[in-house]
Amino acid sequence: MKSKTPLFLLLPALALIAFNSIFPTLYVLYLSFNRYFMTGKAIEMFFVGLDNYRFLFSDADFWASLYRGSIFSIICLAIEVPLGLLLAYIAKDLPRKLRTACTMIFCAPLLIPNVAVGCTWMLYVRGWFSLLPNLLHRIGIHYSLSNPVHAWWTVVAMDVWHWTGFIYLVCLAGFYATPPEYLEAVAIDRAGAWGTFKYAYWPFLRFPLFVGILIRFMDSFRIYDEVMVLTAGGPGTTTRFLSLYTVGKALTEFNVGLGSAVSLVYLYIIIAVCAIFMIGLTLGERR
Amino acid sequence: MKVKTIVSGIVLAVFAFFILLPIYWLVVESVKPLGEVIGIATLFPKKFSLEGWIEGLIKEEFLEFIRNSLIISLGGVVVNIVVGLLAAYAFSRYTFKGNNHLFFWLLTNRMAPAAAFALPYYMIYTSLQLYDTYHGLILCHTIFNLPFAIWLLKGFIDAVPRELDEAAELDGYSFWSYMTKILIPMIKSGIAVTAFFLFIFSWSEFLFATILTHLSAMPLTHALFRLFWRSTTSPWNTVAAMTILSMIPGLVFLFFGERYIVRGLTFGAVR
Repeated sequence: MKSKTPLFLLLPALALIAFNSIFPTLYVLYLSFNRYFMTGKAIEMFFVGLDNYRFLFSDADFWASLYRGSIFSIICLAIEVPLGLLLAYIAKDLPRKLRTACTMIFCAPLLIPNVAVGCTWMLYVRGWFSLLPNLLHRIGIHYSLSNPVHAWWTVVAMDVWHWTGFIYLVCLAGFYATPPEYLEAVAIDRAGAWGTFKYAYWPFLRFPLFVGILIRFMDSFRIYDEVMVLTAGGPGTTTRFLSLYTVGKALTEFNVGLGSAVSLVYLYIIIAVCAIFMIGLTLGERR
Repeated sequence: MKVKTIVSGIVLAVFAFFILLPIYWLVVESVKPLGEVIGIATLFPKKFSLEGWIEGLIKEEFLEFIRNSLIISLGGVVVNIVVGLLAAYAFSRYTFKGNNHLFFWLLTNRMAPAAAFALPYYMIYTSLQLYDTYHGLILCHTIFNLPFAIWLLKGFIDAVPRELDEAAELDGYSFWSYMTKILIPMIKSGIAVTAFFLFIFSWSEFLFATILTHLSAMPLTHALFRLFWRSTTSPWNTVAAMTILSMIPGLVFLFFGERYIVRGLTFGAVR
């Protein structure tokens, strides 16, 4: 049995990941230093050095979409985290059947395709003939997806709809990880609701909640599918996040060199965010 | 105390309403005839009709897209479970130089943003003639599914005591018979959970599906998007019906595997 070395066992996995990750990364790195247009005919490719990067970093659209994405992530987290925590805090004391029902409802959007989330919301808000604009009209709001403010908050609402269940689940796991002895101890001390939360639940809630926030931050930073379906980055560039900017530049403008530079920069921004996540996770585990 | 209970109940009810209202609307829209969907909004269908469902499955050929999605997802499950089991076993049982670094590097690929790989994948897969094929999409989905499989399976293998390996070795089991006769049966529920997640991630994947297929291997997600953006007068009842269809695997898993969801979505960090 020991004759099987780990390398032999790892080889298929490493080969697949290398093909899908290292090879494409090196390829775009190479392309990003060249000027090359994908127009069907074979066109000469020539070396331009850092020109593509220079162009990218002087592109106001790039910085605007980076900024937009960061603001979006912060707003979404600022809504989802307190809301998910509150819902889990309430649901933890419910009788089992009722709690399961709540979990089923809150988590229903978690495992459905992102495109389905986008389609559901498109049907819900699309125009005069659908439900939400109709309801809002009755209370005097003239809702329209082509209004930039409305579009922005619709995308936020869609993200809250999609992912609050995740924070809820993570918090619920934390509440249930709390040993009953802790709860008995604070009950004897008459700690009250806040004291119970702080001294009994919080030590066990802290880590799961932290993991949940980090994963959620990364995911919201990478958001593409739902926004593509619902607004495609519009109206104008209101909801054009970095992922949409990247795909737009890379695949619709035929400028392969620039597209490669954008892809690579986007990749490294996500890797930086991911590194923060990993460091946070290991630090969190140690505490 | 009484007031607190009432307020709590209201909070839960309001949020449940917020979640359920779009889903309710989706279901209602899917059973309205086309004339009603583009007419004035009504909370109930005036005339119940399966027009959207039939139109979508037969005329828009969604039966075929579902078949494509199933082939890609199930094929991917097999590949990722087999390759993932071997790698997860190696990471669980062997310590070698740099194993932690290698493990973390593999995991970071789970977080790889699809948008950054859209352009290189399009160029590479096209030139290797993997464009619009089942195996092309299965191969491409390994970038996020394989690290996930390794991550989750390692957790399940770690829970199997090492003494069992040694006992099996003393009994003269070969590596493969140990794997198939002892290890796999012991962690079969873990494998099932992993497989279900892999299936759902593959089934739901969107960006690679849109750039790497255009006809013969087009999965459900891409087809749904096309149905939707095709024209200004989209057949909304069909869109609603096909959206519901795409949700089925996820909802089934929610029903049976509720307690595993948090583990899967946090990559085993929270149980």
